[in-house]
Amino acid sequence: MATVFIPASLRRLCGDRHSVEVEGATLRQVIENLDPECPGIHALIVEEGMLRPGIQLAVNGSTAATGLLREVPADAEVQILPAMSGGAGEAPGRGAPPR
Amino acid sequence: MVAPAKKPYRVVGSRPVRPDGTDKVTGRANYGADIRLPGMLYGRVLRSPHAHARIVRIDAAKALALPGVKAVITQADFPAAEDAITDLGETASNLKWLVDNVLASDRALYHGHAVAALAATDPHVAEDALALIEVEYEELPPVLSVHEAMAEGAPRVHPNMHTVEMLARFSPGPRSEHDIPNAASHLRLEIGDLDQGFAEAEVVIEREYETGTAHQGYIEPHNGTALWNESGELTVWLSTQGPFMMRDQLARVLKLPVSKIRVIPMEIGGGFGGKIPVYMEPMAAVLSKKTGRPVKMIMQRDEVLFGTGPTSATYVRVKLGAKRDGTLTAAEAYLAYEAGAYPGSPVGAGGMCMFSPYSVPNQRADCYDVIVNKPKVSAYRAPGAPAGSFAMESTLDELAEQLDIDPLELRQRNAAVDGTRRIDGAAFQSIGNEAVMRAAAESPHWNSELQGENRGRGIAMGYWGNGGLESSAYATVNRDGTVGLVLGSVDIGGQRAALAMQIAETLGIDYEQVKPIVVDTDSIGFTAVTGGSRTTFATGWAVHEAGLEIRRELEARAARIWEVDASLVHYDDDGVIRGPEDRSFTFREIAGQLHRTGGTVQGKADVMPEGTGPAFACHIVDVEVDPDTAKVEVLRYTAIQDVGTAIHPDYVEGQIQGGAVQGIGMALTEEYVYDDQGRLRNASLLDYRMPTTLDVPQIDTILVEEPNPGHPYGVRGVGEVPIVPPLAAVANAIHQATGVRTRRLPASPRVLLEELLPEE
Amino acid sequence: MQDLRYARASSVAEAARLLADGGPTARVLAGGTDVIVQARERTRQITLFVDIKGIPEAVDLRAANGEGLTLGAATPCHQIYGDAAVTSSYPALIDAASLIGGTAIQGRASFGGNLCNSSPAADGVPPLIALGASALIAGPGGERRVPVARFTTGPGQNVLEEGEFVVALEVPAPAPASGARFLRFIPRNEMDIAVVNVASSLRFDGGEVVEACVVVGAAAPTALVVEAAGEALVGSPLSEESIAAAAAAARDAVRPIDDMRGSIRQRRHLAGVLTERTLRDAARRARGEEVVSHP
Ligand SMILES: Cc1cc2nc3c(=O)[nH]c(=O)nc-3n(C[C@H](O)[C@H](O)[C@H](O)COP(=O)(O)OP(=O)(O)OC[C@H]3O[C@@H](n4cnc5c(N)ncnc54)[C@H](O)[C@@H]3O)c2cc1C
Repeated sequence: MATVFIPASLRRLCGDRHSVEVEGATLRQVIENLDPECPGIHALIVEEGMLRPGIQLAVNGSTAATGLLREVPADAEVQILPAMSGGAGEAPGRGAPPR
Repeated sequence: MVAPAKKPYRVVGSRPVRPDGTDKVTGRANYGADIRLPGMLYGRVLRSPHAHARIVRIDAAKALALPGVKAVITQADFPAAEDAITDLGETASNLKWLVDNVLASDRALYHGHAVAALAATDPHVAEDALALIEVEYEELPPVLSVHEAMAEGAPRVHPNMHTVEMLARFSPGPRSEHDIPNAASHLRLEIGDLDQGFAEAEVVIEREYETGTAHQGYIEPHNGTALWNESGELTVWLSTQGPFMMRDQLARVLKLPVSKIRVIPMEIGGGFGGKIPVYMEPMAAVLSKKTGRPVKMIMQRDEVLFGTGPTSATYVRVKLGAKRDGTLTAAEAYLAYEAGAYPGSPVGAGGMCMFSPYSVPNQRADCYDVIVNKPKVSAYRAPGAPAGSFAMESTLDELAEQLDIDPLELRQRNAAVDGTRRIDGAAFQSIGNEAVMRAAAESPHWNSELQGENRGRGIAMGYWGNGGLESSAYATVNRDGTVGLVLGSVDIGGQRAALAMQIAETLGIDYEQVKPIVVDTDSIGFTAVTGGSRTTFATGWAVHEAGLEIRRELEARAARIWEVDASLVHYDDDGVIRGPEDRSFTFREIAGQLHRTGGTVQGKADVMPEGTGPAFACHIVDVEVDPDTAKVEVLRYTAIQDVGTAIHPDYVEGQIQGGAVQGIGMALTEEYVYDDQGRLRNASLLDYRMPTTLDVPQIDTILVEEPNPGHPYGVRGVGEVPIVPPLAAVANAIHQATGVRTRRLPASPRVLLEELLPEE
Repeated sequence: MQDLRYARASSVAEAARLLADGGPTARVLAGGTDVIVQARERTRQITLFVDIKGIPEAVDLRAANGEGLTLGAATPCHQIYGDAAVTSSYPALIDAASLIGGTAIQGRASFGGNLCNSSPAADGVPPLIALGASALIAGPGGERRVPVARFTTGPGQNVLEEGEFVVALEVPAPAPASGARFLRFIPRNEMDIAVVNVASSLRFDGGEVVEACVVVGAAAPTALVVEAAGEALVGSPLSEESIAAAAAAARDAVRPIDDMRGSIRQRRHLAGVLTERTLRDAARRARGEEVVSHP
């Protein structure tokens, strides 16, 4: 079971719970399994099968570099984080550049 | 002062000369201003004289008639931004905002907002021509502070914008139930139960703070030269922290595939977060397309202040609850940061960082991103953190005073340790917070006696999360035993040296054997900006992995040469490859044989590492305040920081000293001054007062080295956190010297004098 | 930058002719530290620069014993504070010469340029006035002398007629038992325009102040001679009371504006503070004590 910490702005979706325990071997599975517990949360985090631009997920405190593909160890903590990349993430228009 | 490094390294931890040093001190290094191409035109930008105005008409006929003027453009010359007509707030159309910030569409939203640009055969003609472009404006009322902007019934800068609830800092979610004028978004961060926390408190203290707008103050102005050739390929030479970020923004604004754009980063004269967004580069590109000639644009100094992103002016309210023994039970903050004309202030980071040095079970921060008629803010060194920490660290100081506890002791009692949860719920791992506080408590500065009248000592902590992100690097082994190291990370603070040192360490060779070079976007894989304190960490990972690949290749080659099984060959950390029967190659020896034994060897790596270690800092400052003039003299300054492993201690110290000085500037003299019409009055480095060398003492540093377990050499980002503590440290020192709490920074003599003089 | 012509004069007569022919948009070029900036920023329309640094009288520096100082109008600051005779006899001029701009600016900036630019905040002007200096002016109509105290008539304005320029500044020799001091207040420690600046001079006879002059800059349209301060000081020994009275007179006399560099209240207050500080230092210099320009 992973413990997902729900950010304050999404707690209303989860019956005001601060954290929810769900199964999942990857972040994709964790977020999918979270949706029945917190209806609507999936659509807010995932867009066209990918992490929405700007959203960061962390596993045990480390920002997941591989996004939804990140493996989730047993008993991990998962956070939905405000990005903290500072100078590196501030540029306007960074969301989903056409690479 | 450096604590001994944990591991015995050969190169890491030494202080070699930077590879770019000679060319920089002799003036040979090539900056964007040095670009000169055949047939080149010179571009200039016409800027709005009003803070808020409808652009009724732009008539360029007279300018175009001036001999030498080749083209004039307005936003109409850009490809239409998608969602151009749709509702701004609801769709979070940041492309539209990006384009509008480059060149205003139907409205100018701040004094200095670009409204048109032109290109001419020489810079003087271009300047003459600017005055000939006729623009008819219809002035609109500006909103100039978060208070004005958020007041009920305030004029809305973006009429259709509504407050959005943020899921994370850049991810808008549903529309907020509370629609506050000009508040683009609200982000709530929360752990624990705040009401419970305050109920447990025996002392509660609540205070308000403000900070002014501060600019990064890099000495080199923005510049860009664009050539859009006949086959539709765009090449841009420019000064940036992130060539790939520039390429991607240009691609979005110009609606070009990234493969059509080549960005060549020149040497950069400072950025501090400000050289990430595009400003006049897209204009240069469109002017080049229109004229068929290369177009060079360099901002004047005042344009840098008018037209590029400073950091937010802020309002922060803090409420703390504590037990009589100083134990914090609750911490609450309300933060409203000016975003400028388009959304995107670093308010979330402000809320995220301010309480992080402390273990507080119950925390909440409400963060508002507020639109005002000022330049769109940009990242500035630990964006958002200094203002939040100024509020927190000042209030802690007052709490210490109330409870009669030594201010450092109070912080130590509440120090966040491994396992402590931050406001976003994540638990810290391997942090040096307590070690930093201990080093501060043991420092000569803290233990010295402060003597003399009108003097005070202040202390404050700071926190910053640091970044990871993508980096690419490759390295080639040259026949003469050197290694060419090819990088996508531009070098602002000695990165070429710090990266060359890491691969030298990995390969067991000398620093002098590595020749680092920064290349353009066609010559290496995607590499994120030099910013976010990420480069020595993430690109360091990449060069280490490239080095490991070279080691493996050379082991295989040695095995082939010796005709033994590869498993019997080992590349040792001293750079010697050893095989059976005492056979060995030095790096130089095998490098000389490569071309005759199967050809050259390269190592490469593309990484996106996790495990960035957060950074903590503690600053101590002594000041003297002239009671007659209210001028604050900084007498002594010590910055203590957990730096992970200091790869090149000189440059780590340089980062700390530079950050501290910028923080002192924010604390004492730097701010944008606007008149009541929203016109910027001090767009020059004469009146926008950054500290000079005569205004600051030597900044002493104490490097605490708690290696980051998430990095092969224990690197932690070091560049940003040093700007976080100075604001409160200086304000706390002023309080001790004068008894006055400065809750609005900068504490310029003019403002402080009002506090010191009897009321009129 | 604007299109303009440049001419280098080698004599006073040639400069006067060039200026007269050039009309109202011809400007003298001394160190250029004001005027080149103005040309670049187009705050002043200029068609001709007449460089006066080739005129011997304009770059002269003579501190003949007992006869006072003749300071060529275009003599750069660094030459002034590099001159032992000037440093020892006119330390109040050194106070200003060594703080205008920074080292690079001081390599070019001149007192003549500082005076003729006629900024209310000019740092060179109050000490010249406090020392009783005059400007030697040459022009189509010949030469004339105007006391520096009457030279500037408003912000950016002065008594020069078309074709006229300042050849030199003449400072009387310091009287025995006299001393002067110049100080300014800026928020930083260099590279700033005075929020307020003050020069004071004192002459003693038998322990009594017999002459006193307090000049406040940046607190009125031109540098202001505070007559009431002088009156408060003359006729008695220098005392805490007389210093306080002079400071109060300075605060009363100034007519400051409120701008981004300083508020009215701040400027008024600082006029008093700097009056007190300059008077104390001037008295020490009059007693022969050393007061360093910038400790
Ligand atoms: C970075 C910087 C810092 C500065 N700091 C200070 C400071 O701390 N304090 C301060 O007071 N000023 C300061 N200044 C302003 C300037 O340096 C001084 O006013 C200086 O003394 C001007 O002298 P100049 O020889 O360069 O004059 P110029 O620029 O050559 O001339 C100034 C004006 O006077 C006219 N002029 C010059 N000489 C004569 C003459 N002999 N006869 C008639 N007209 C003449 C010129 O036509 C022009 O209009 C600063 C300027 C800069 C750029």
